[in-house]
Amino acid sequence: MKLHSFLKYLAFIELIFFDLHAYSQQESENTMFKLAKEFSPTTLSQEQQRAEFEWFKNASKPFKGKKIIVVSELIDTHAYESNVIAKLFSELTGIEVTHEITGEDDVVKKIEAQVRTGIHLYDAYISDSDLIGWHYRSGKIHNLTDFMVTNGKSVTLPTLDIDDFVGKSFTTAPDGKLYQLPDQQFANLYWYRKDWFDRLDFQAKFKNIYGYKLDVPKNWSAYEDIAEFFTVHVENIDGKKVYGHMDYGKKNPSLGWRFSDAWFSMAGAGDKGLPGGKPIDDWGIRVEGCNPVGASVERGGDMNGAAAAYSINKFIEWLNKYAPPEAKQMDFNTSGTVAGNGHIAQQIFWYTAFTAALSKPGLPVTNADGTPRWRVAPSPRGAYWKAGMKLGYQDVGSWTLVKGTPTENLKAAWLYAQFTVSKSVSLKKTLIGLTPIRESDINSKAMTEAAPKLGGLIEFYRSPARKLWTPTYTNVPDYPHMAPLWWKNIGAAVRGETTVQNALDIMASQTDEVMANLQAKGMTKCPPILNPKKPLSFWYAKKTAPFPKLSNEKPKGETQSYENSIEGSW
Amino acid sequence: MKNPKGRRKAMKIVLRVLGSLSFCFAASANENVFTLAFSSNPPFAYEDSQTYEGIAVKAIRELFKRSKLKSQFQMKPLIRSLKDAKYINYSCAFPVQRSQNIESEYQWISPIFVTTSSLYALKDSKIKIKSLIDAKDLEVGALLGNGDAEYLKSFGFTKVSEVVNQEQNIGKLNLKRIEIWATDIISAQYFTKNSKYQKIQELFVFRKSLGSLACNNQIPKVEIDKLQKNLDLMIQDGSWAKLTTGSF
Repeated sequence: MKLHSFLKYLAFIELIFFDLHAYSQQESENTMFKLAKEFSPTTLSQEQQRAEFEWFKNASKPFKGKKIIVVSELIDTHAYESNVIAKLFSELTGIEVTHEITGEDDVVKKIEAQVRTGIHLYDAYISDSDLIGWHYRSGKIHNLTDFMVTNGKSVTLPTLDIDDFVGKSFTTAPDGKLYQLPDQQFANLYWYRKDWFDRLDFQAKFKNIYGYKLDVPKNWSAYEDIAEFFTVHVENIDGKKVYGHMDYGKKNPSLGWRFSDAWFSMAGAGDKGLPGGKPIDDWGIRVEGCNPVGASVERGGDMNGAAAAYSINKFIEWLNKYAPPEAKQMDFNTSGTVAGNGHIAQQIFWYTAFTAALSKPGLPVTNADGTPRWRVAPSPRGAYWKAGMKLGYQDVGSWTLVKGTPTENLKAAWLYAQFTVSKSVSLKKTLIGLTPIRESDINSKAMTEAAPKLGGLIEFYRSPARKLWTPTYTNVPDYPHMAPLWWKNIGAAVRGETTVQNALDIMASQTDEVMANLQAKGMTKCPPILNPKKPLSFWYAKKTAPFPKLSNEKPKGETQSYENSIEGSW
Repeated sequence: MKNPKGRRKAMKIVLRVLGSLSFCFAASANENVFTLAFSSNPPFAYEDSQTYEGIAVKAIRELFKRSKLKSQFQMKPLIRSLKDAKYINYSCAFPVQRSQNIESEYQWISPIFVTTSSLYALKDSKIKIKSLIDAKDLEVGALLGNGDAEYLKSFGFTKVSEVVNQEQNIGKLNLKRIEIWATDIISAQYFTKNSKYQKIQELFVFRKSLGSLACNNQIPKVEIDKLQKNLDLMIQDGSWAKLTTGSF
């Protein structure tokens, strides 16, 4: 009887175990089904995608139940990550993720605080690759090349395929190591109302006033003429006041990156060279070897040179004359979607991060069939620009791991980071946020099908010319402490509190001061070594930037067809 | 006076008095006193038996002592503190959650402390939150003027009710007039520790903030830099952690 009871007991336990196991298997299958459904389409086959999900599940086992917190800026892509991807990752792996989204300047402040103080704030950051110069010099950021083959080997996805990332070169430092893993990319392009530009009545009127065709501007002179045309000469379309320009001018950290995001090089400041001008980049910082040597023209930089002054003068003039009055009180977030209201003819500095917002059906800028009435095209160049220079800015928000983060948290965060950019997830994420990072996604059938509704965005990313749109590169040795100098100083000029030249002179001098402090304190690699001050004639004789002021900063306006602009520049 | 010795003595006295007076004037002309304003927000800053206490007060008191800068604390409403710090020289407000929207309005010394904000519910609540968006339609209680309330509202939360003190939030949570309480971990621990109310559970961490000292833009940069440098030293030597770890 005792044996009989024992056997019954054993059978009962086995039955429970079998039920629990079957339940667990069913739960796992449900999760896999949910992931496959959400992350469709993908460039992987179903089997390949399933294999990646299984890999993440197994690799995460040691971290099940762990809570991690990561942070990124607020754009559609990261909202999707925070609200959807993080939840599904948690369900798959058991790692609980808080993906905080906040202002970009807040992200910079927080990573700076963590690096400076050693206080463990976040387990990983999506930090712009603009900070690469600081990241690789500070010695406080894990270089991923080494991490992936040492401490991070067991938690690095075998099918990550780094070469598939189109922004890989932007997050690779002069030492050849990858310091950040791209999570999203967006460019700053020229945006315009093609339907208005194609109107025969506007074509005739423009030609009559300016003597050339109304079309995609090739240079700043044409952009200015078109801005004046719509604001002053057209004035109203269908009873609505229209403007030939849109921008933002609020005193706010985002005003800083309005300029440091390559505005100087769009004007033609700095030197030729990609991803950044050599020896002078789009911040106007001169580098010799790998050492920054000066920002002010007296030290061989171009931050307060003639081209930089021209760029700010034009910004202020256009903001005051041709943009909606409320633009002066707008910032990056509030201004990005204004063009979608239907009263803006063109915008020279438009972040493609807002493409999704301007592609929604029912907007004044969208046709009934969902295709846009607008296009993005190559940015017009300023009077100082020369072939071989970068033509615009590209933002590359990238996963960044800070040294000193507890190892288990770091590994769990690295798993989440890779999940968000894996081929299993990336194409769906790109279709939601329109910030592509993988060559395979850009060339996919799904992107081809989406292209007609995206105003030229896919064509840009498929062209070799996208290499002319680059982030801030390695010439900037301390982005967090140098970036505020832009909005503080140029902002004063925008508000009329000082002249443009004075603002730039102070900004360049303060930038040199920051570099002098870094030189004195030391950096682990390639610290600044400031040049002594020399007269301008010394630097002009070198035939690199800085260059003297042009006698004519407004040559005749030139335009080209949209089709030519795509073929010619990208 | 006909007595020369007496004349000399009198002269010495006059000169000494004049010297002391000029020294006093010189000293008061060069010594600016920082006004450090805060609104009652235990356990960070509050008044207790006519003295000012709290995690942030302790940290700042030590910071100014190390920086050898004169200061006086003042308790006033949050909005007034921020306004004074914005417009009056040598005025600062704390603790202020540093954010992009107000970055340009002050000079900052940061971090005075770090907060982790979470969503809390009663212990027996069945609410499950796996991302912030899951909580969007819930009735949320938060502290008036607190960065957490503004953060949630910026993400489309429409049912955020703000109150002037955290005791009200605890009470409302227990009376089920709100479903969740958005606050930082330190406040949650402080207000529930000896509370007569039901225990709470943390549902979801949603953000971190750098509690900072927000100071007037006219204050010379050299003094702001001195304060920041000394704060960094306090962090390095461990005294900051001791002062800002709440133990109640």
